Amino acid sequence: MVITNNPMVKNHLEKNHNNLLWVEGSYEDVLLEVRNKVHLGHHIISHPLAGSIKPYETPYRTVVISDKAEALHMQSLETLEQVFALLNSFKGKDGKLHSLRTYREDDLPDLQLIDLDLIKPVMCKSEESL
Amino acid sequence: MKLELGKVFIEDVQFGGKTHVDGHVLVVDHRELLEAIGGDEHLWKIRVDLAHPGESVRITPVKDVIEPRVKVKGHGEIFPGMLGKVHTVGNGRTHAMKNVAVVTAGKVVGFQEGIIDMSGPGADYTPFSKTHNIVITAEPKPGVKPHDHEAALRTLGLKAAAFLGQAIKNVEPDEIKVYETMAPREAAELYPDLPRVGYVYMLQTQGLLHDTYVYGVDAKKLVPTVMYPTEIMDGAIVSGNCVSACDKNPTYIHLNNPVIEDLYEEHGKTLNFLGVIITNENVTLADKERSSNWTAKLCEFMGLDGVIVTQEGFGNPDTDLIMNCRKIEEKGIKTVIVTDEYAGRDGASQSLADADPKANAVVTNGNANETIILPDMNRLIGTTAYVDSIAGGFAGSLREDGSIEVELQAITGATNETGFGHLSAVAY
Repeated sequence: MVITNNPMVKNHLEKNHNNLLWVEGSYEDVLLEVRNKVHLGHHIISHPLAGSIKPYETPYRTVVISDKAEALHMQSLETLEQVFALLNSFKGKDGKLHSLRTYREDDLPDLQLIDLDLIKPVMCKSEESL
Repeated sequence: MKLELGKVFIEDVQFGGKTHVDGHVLVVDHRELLEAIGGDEHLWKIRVDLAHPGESVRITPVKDVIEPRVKVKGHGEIFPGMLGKVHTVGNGRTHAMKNVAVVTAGKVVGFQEGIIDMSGPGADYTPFSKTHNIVITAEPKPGVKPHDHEAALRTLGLKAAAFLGQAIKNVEPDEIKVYETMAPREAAELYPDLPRVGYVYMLQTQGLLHDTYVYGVDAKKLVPTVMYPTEIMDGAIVSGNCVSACDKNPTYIHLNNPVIEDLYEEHGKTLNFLGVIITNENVTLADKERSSNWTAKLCEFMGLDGVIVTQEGFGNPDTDLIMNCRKIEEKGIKTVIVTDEYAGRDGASQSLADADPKANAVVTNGNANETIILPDMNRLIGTTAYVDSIAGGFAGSLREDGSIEVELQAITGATNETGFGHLSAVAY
């Protein structure tokens, strides 16, 4: 299952009939949805954090989790707790994760493309395992 | 495997007729260089500029930095699998052009690239303010996709470095250094009383702008493997990585990896340096588990007593770093990890996204979230149009007076996780 707030991932998956959970929200909202699913027994397939892109540097996030819910997967839960500890450390006093930059319209497709590209090989594997 | 590395020290770079080295001056024939690197179907408007140490010049957005080198004796060519055939390199003789770098610049996507200031406060943070830079900028032809653009720009830089390297093929080097690594059994017999030490070299491998190539192979498709360190000095590892500027390894740093240099320096004195294990930083947890299992297995297989692990980038690779450390330690092998930190602007937050009690020996190369003000420069190579949106930049980064306030992350090589650079910590 693919959890995303990235419209380019959504378009890509709709063409490829993948199992998609669309999140109308922020980077953090995607991770909260992932955490909810992990609490229900799904395990994470791709790491929730992006490589070399800070959580406040892109509005987009895509995470691949198992389609099936089984017993609580402790490693997935521990990984997520570490991710939230890091995310919280970047938050302001108001408890919100502030982006330090204003995203220019021109940059949004590039940010979507990077998020899609990093997750593409994982989605292929996920499809195989369906 | 034995490599003689002949270093030719260059004191100045000038444009002129016919590319050659005259004493300690590199003369670059602009037209020859363009001919050697041109012809790519994806790029046009290729420009060559020079930037010298101390000049009021800003180069941005930087993609890769490459040292010109040439094979003089021995198998293969420089950058095997990328430019030359896939012969195993690392033996014979190679000449390196010191104090000179090819810098490729230009937008690939609308964020993610770095800054090199040749003077001012930013120059202290980038090792590439000390090199005479031959900067190549190119634009993609209309309709070229980012993947093709990245590959074309990457190849352009490698071709330029190989072309310039030819100029020192027949020059007598100022200094020759010999690096030799034997097979583990012979090495163990040679220094039976010294601890056997290996280097686990983590390579960023996640997708577009996040890739590294080994003999031309995309390293995300490799399982960890063993290399002679001298293969890396001949360009067996090449950067396709554009993120993040401060702590990615440009090709220059792969060629001049300071961990390898220092381990050779201590080889036969305080330790027995047995070789390099390269591993990747992939996206899935399964890949991370597999690769870290393999690095630990190879460390055990090589009979190592101690290991140094360096990371590239940050975020989910922090998990690879900690998995490598924990699993190698669990084999009873002492492990030191080398990384950098994203600890917030005040340095007070958690530094890594993962942790383990076994990571009890850690070297940091600085806090990439720290901010710096870079004053305006007289000359700009490239464009500052992306400064607000590059990694480490933020809204309002580019001020009206031309100065830039950014996180150190935006500066190429500022917190490099192999320790390549000129900064150090002082306790007082």
